[in-house]
Amino acid sequence: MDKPHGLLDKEDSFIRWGTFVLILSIIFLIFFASNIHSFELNSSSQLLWGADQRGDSEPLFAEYLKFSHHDSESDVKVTGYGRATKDLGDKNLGEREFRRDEAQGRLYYLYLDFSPADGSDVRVGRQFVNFTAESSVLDGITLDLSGLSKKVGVSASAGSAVKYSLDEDISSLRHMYAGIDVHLINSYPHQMGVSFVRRYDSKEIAAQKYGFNASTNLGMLRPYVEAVYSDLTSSVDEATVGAVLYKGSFSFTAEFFTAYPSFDSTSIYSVFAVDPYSEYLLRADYSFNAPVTMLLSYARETYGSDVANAYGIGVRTEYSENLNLSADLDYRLGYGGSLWGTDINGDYRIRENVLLVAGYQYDTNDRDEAQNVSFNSQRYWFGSKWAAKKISALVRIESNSGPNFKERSLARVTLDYRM
Amino acid sequence: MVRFLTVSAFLVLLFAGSSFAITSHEDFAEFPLDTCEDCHDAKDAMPTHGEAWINEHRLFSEKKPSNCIDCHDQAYCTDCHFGGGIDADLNLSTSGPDYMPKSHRSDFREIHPIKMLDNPKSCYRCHDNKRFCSDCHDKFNAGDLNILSHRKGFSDLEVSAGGSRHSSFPSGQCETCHPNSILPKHEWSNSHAREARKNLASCESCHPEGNVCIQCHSSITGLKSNPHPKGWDKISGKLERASNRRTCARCHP
Repeated sequence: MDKPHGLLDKEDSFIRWGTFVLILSIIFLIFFASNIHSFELNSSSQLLWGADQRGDSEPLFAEYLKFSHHDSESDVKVTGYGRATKDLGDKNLGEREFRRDEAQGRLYYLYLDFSPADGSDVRVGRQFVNFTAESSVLDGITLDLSGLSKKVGVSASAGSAVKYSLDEDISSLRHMYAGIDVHLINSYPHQMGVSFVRRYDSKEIAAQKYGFNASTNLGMLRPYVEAVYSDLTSSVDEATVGAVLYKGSFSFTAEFFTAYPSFDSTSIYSVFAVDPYSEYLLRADYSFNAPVTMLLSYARETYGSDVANAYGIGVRTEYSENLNLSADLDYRLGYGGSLWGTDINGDYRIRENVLLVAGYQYDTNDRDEAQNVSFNSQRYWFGSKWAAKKISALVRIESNSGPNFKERSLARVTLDYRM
Repeated sequence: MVRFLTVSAFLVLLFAGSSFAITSHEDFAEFPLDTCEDCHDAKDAMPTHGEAWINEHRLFSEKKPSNCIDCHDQAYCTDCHFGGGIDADLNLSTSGPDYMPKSHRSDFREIHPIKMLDNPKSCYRCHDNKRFCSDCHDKFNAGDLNILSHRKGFSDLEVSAGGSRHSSFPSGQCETCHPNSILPKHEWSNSHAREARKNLASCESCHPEGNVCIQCHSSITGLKSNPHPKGWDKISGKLERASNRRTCARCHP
């Protein structure tokens, strides 16, 4: 396989697992320097046992922390979420090592919110931004001007794009992202927005996309549209057009989706010819807190001149106040091969603070390249959670098998604390 | 593009004159879920968070202002999209430290080549194909990845019955036997193109720099087989300027 370069070189990455130490430092600074009542903290300490994807034992310790602190005097809020993990397993796997042994960190977000003026909000730090044109995790800044006008809001973000790989999160000044979204506000049931995103790869413009979304309600009908146009490749990156017809707890959806693969201008793949993917979807859903909810769906998928058909059915029932059961079955046949699978699970609350969960999944697939040989995979599990006001604990055991593993077991124990 | 922006701006202004209503759900965030139907059912508002919500939520979360934040913090999004598990559902399985969403059923390593065909875009909403996919594929022998066209690649094919394999020839000699890039109709030339055109991102997940592709699809070496789409002349200028010829120069120095 080719080795990737360009997206990250170690010396380019300025945020590493040490960010988790930074989070901890900030938490304790805030905790000891502020009013304890405005500080919220969630912690989850986890032990995970089992084999990795190559079958080698991979016991792990993981510590999650999520916190927020709101200073009501200055109206400044700090919010953060991250984890640190450590592989406790065999250190002598050499090239078989699936993940690195040393401690790893993943910072999901760490940002500061404040309002410099009436009608404007600023968020600085690592954050998830979601524009129709393109979403990203950013180390940067977002300015929201939704309060300046009664009818039109503006949101703009800029910073370096963050990528998560198997072992690390990478943020590099070589990969900058800038986006803006102009949208209607206070216009229910009408909704519309236009967005623009540009990304850089070093000094080159890697991607430039326009996004558009709109929806409204016409009685019991909700039509909607979403489109992303890739300017550099002059193609519709993806588009969704559909309508939902609903009455009470019943809804029926008809939707068309199309996507044309587009690549960064700095990728060699941007010069290759590709086929569009299209999907025609019909879905009926009887749902929302009814004793029994049901889903039926059909999708016709086209890949250029090739076709696949996908069918799905799902049922969920609140059998009693303490017992929930659900089952899903789907079947796909066509280009690429066939797959049918099922997912059955249930939860039972034996006491107010004790929950039991069990489930089973089964898939059988026959890929084109497997030359009519079917492979079966299954997974079953059970677990229990005990919860008090501030502390909860859970245990879960899973077994799975298939062509890759005759028998593979996973287990986890977690202790959660909420302050 | 000017037309796109003009039409969009017109529609925004047109709808800006429409009626107003409150859409914030912040006051209901701590309410039990069954109270939601007081409005969504009794008042004929559209049902939401139903059985297909995992497929539907993308368009709702993209719109601005989004009212997801009235009830959910960002961890609710990132736990599913980026493997977090601070408050994970007991039904969720894990791959190493990463929690997997419900869409990753049974042995997902086995079924993901088919699952990814159900809308190829969906994988890349969470995973970076240059990093995440190649990181994982890099851990396995290429021969173990059962891609149809790769089961017997051109490098394994003999140039004639009992003759040398293609892998024994340097790329500069391709045109000796294949003048004007003409290939025999063997399995490789047909099936790899069919697969690549339908999910080119999957090629990138093992060959992130495309070095293996330009052995043949280059103007200077190998078969010099043209990979560009129809109408390439109309769009190549934009890509060339945006990439500052960085991409073009790999095949057209």
